[in-house]
Amino acid sequence: MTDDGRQISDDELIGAMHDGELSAVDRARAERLLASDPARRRELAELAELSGKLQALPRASLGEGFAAEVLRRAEREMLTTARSTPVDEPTTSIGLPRRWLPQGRRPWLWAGAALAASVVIMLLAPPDRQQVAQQPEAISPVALTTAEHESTRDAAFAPRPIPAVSAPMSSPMPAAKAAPESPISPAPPAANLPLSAPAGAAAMPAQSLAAPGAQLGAANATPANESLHERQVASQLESFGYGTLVNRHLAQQATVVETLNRDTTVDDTLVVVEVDVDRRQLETDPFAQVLLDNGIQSATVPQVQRANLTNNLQQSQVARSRGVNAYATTAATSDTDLVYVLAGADQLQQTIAQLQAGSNTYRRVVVRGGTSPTSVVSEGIEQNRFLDGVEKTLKEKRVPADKQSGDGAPAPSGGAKSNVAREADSIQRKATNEPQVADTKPAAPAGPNGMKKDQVADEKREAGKRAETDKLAKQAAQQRSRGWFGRLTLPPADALPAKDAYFTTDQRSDPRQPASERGEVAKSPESKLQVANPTAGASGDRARLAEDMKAKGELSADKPTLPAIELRSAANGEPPLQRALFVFRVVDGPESAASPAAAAQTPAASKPVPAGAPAASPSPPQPAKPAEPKSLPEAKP
Amino acid sequence: MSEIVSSCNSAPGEVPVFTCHVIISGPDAAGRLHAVAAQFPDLKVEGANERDVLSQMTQQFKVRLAWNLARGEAIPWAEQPLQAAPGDRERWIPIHL
Repeated sequence: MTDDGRQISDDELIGAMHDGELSAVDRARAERLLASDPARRRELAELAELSGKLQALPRASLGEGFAAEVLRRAEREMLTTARSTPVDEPTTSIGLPRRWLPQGRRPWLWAGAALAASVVIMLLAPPDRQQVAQQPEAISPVALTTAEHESTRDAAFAPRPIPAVSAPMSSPMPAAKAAPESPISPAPPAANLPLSAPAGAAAMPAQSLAAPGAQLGAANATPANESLHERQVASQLESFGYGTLVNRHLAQQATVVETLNRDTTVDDTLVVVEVDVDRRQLETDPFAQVLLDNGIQSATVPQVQRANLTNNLQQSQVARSRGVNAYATTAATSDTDLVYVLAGADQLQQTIAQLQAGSNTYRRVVVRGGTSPTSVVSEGIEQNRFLDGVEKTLKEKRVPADKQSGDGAPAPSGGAKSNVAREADSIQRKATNEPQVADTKPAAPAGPNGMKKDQVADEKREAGKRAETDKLAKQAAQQRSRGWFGRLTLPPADALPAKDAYFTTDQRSDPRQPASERGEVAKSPESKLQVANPTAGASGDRARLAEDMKAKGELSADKPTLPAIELRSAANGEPPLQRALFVFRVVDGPESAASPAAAAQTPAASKPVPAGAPAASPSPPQPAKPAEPKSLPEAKP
Repeated sequence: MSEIVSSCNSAPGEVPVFTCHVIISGPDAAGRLHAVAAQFPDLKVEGANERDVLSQMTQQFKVRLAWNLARGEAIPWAEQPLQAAPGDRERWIPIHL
């Protein structure tokens, strides 16, 4: 009951309960309401969460003289506008075009407003901590819900405009919590990385994915060595309201992600996907698996640094030759994880759909959009662990040409197969379901006991190798099926050179082609010919190698010997990659965040659609079968 | 944005609601149902039952719309929506973003 005798409505009741303003009677009524209505419980939980986030908003100091400066400017404004004559594009003393201001108002009104604002600020901010929260610009989100066909126009499915304070920027930040007296001091390195590297990047140190310098307000400090691209990405992210949350480190990671495939067209638009995720579910790192399931691998900082620091042409070429063109990279704070993804639209859409489907883990999925200038793709580096393994093996087994027979000829075949050959053999067996053929091995030492030990050891070794090759083959098969990754096509093992193996990325550079054509292909900007050729030098003179092989009879018209990586990219007519920033806000407990999916399961959400209620249906709904979702007449888009 | 709004079935200023026309065929030899969005022929799902395929379809339909909307693109409706074959079932599902 209010002071004027009016009964408090249910909506007011929840808010008043949260604020602790209810009488005993009203509180009992509120508790009954909460016990009977899950939506009200969620509303209360949202209020609590919102309140907590408001309290935890990052704060920035206004400085000692802020209030005085406001008053001084207001006074100046009053004086200057009273005397000045409008010109073509007059501006106020604070930089705003005058046309933006309401016309016909007296200047003193603005001075008064500024004075009032300063008073409010002073009242809100304690004298010992004159700080004001920064809020991002609200961008209309598109809320994604699940189980749409079961309920149509329930409020649970309506777009839920996110208040500015609930944007990821307002997520509780450690710096704001731990050191309020120094609000823009660097936050400590993130301790937990729930969305760190997927299995494909497991070899990388976990901390490499963290934001070692995750800093509030670090975006304001531009490092001297920051590239133009990084500034562009940072600016783009800031335009989404992540200016103080997405620090330079993430911008650098984004740079790296987009650096990974210089030959692939990248679309300008950045889509931001905000996801509330249950903290308890993060222990299993589910999003990394979602990314992997959709053929998106992880980029890591060490690889970035390697890409940035190296000027080695061969390495750059090899890196680019891998042609992996879908990446994700992660930065983390304590309660917010940011995953920057560059991938195909289908991959990204499928990823979002999977998040949407995983309502137990991902409470709320919101897609935000916008455009921003694109960035430059410059360097290249690979991410493919399978290809990493092949490359490593190549380097291990590689014998420089000048250390062989003097003319670059491969060593005579014989003995155990190389690792690459075994890998190729394994892949080939897997593809053709051929039985495994035992490799040639040196004879074991004599003696019954020794034989037994050696046999056991050999068996263990072979088992380990088989497991490893199976794993590699599985990865390769997955990458082939996804199509967005470099597709490694190895020839039959007996077609590989006996000693050295090599691969290239462009079948158009088949040595059987005339040399002139090969040269044109190699020089073409669209060409992905990057030869990792151990015997032909860093420039990848594939033609010379082909001549050598022809001379040795290792190449023939009916025996293609050069393994190749088929790439799908813009150069091959693929659509440009698209960019998305996944912002995961960790929430605790099932009631701490609104769950549209959970709301869909509530009686209120699953109630029948009132006739004529959906704006979508120009005609009344048709009767539907009980077990089927409601059918509506077709309405062409 | 105006193009997007006009392509849905909502009055101006209201919640955008789109109609997802789903064509369901099957079950096939394995007992699986197949569904395709008439407006997006490339949007295909399969599942064990109708509820399953519709659930998948609505999610993907929504993501498709949201993705284009977020990117400021026109929604690439098919010029010629698919027609149901004899024996297929059709469902029209309102989709809120």
